[in-house]
Amino acid sequence: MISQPKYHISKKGLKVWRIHAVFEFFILLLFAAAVSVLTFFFDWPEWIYAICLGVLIADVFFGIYLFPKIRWNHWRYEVREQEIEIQQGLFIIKRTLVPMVRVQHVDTSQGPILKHYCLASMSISTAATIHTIPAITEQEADQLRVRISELARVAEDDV
Amino acid sequence: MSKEVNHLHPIAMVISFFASLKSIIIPGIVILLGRGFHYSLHPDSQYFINTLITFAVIFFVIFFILMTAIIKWKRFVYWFEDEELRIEYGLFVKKKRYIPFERIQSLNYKEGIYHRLFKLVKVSIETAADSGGKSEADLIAITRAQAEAIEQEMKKTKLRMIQQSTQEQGIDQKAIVSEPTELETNRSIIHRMSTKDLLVLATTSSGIGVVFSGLAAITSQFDDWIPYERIYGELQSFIRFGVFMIVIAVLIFLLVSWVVSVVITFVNHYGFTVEKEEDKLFISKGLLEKKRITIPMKRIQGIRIVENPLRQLFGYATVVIESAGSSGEKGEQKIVMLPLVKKQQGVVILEKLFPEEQWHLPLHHAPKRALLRYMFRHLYWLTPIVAVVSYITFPYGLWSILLLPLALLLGIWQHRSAGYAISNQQLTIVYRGVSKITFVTSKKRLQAISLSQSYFAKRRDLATITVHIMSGSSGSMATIKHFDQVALEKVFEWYRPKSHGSIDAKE
Repeated sequence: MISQPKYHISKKGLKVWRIHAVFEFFILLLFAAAVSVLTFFFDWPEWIYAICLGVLIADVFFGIYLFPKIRWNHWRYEVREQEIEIQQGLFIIKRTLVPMVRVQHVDTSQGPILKHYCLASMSISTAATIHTIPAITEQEADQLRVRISELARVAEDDV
Repeated sequence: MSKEVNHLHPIAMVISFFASLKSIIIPGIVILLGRGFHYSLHPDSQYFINTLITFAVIFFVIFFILMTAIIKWKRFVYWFEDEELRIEYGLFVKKKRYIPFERIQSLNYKEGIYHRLFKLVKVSIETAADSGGKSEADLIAITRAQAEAIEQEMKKTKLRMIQQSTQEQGIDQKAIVSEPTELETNRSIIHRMSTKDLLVLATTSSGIGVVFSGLAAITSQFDDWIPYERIYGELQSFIRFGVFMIVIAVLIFLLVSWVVSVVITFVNHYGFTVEKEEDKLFISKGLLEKKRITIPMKRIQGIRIVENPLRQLFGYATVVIESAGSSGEKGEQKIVMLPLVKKQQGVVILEKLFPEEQWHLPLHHAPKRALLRYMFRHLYWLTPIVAVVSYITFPYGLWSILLLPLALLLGIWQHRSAGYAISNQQLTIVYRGVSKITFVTSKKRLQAISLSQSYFAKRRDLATITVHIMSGSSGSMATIKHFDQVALEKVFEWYRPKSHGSIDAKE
């Protein structure tokens, strides 16, 4: 078994994911409400109410509580001299290796929620793929960005 | 440097005129007929004025397009200056585009029917710049001599670059002297498709279509076995007739589309030739419309050998090149290098072209314990669909149950085909969708590798690996599923840059 990447993403990232999940829950809630209203007016069978309720409860438990937690536990990354390694996934755990030489550019981005928690997400682009580290602290993001661009440049000279 | 300005051949006007005309003809017809056909040339008719106006508008539009084409042609000039290809064009706004010759990756030629009549070519100039699958500049129609001049100019520049760099490095004069002769004459034919291969390619090109018409023919035989009489009683004759008609119609449709595709494939691939000159590949093809594309060897990121089941049966394969940048045809990332060759012959050609790669590495296969997962991988999604189809279109839908054992067999087949091999610098991955694909790339071309594992796979020590390379203007990937975890971790470690150990200790 090869060793895992060292670092977790920020603990606050979990909070941010939960907030996103709550927004999604509200969208789902609106949808469920619409279905319930239609059911009421058009005399659709009553088990539809039960399904709506069931879906909402399931979303609260899985979508807001459980899945973000599992996802956070699985999320790990490590930026080394020669490579970036990322581990992520909910049911399927995926580990990705990107050599520094292949990195073309690094972007950081920050939505309002991330900003509130002083977090940022960082995207690492190669010629073929984009890899995102979702929630790391601003300083860490800045440091990483500088480091990666330095390392990537050095590596480029070698080739 | 001479500043001798070149125009396109006047036929470019005709080509761009018809091109713009073609682009408006369908919307035009829709607009004209959209309100019903109320046109008349009879002076007393209430539509007379309307008709005149319509004619005037059509005339004006055509006139406008014609003028545009003429002005565009007049304003489009190109010349060579300071080792650049300089182009000026633009209808109202004058645009200039200067392309340094050293930046030009490839010149792709295309000869349409107009071009053939006047012995002209369309030249697409491609650079490494990623302009979304479009070439950097198109010279719609120039004479072959002019095209030759561009190529010469480009070679001259590159030659000068070589001389400069060799002088800088202080290499003796001999090397420089020998360089030009090499640049002039080193084009060798790698592969030319024989008429027989071309015919086989054309007839098996829509392999699926053939299989389907075959299947339809077989299923129509089942009519005898189905007890229509008992099921449908009085409806039987009607339904039998209906089914018969549908089967016949489908068969005819498939046959016609097959014949059409055979003709199209034949015309498109006629005279398919692969040539190599120094570090470039040239692929030319076409009967009515000739095309020639150029692929710099160093831009080739990976190679796929594709064997579809029908062709695999006869030992044939297709070889596809994945190249960085947009050097393919429009909208095509992958460039077919050998549309149809006997596999062994293809491998011989590849060995010649890419001597540093190995084409006969022994493969590691998926372990036996993964067989069940391969068998059932299609059933997970197929079974619900079959159930729904069977339920909705009962009883005919029940035939879809036949798909389930087929899917199972496909899974077993995929298990047997899948494999991988690593050597020092090279990775070979073999997998099967329906066609068997052998994907060969080298470590330095890989952009990223992912190793993934579900909970259930982990319990059985199985994993999936995906590798990414650059292809076209984006990426392309290859995946093998359900291989031994420890073995795939070795691939992962193989890809990890070497000096890692010492660096990690430092941290």
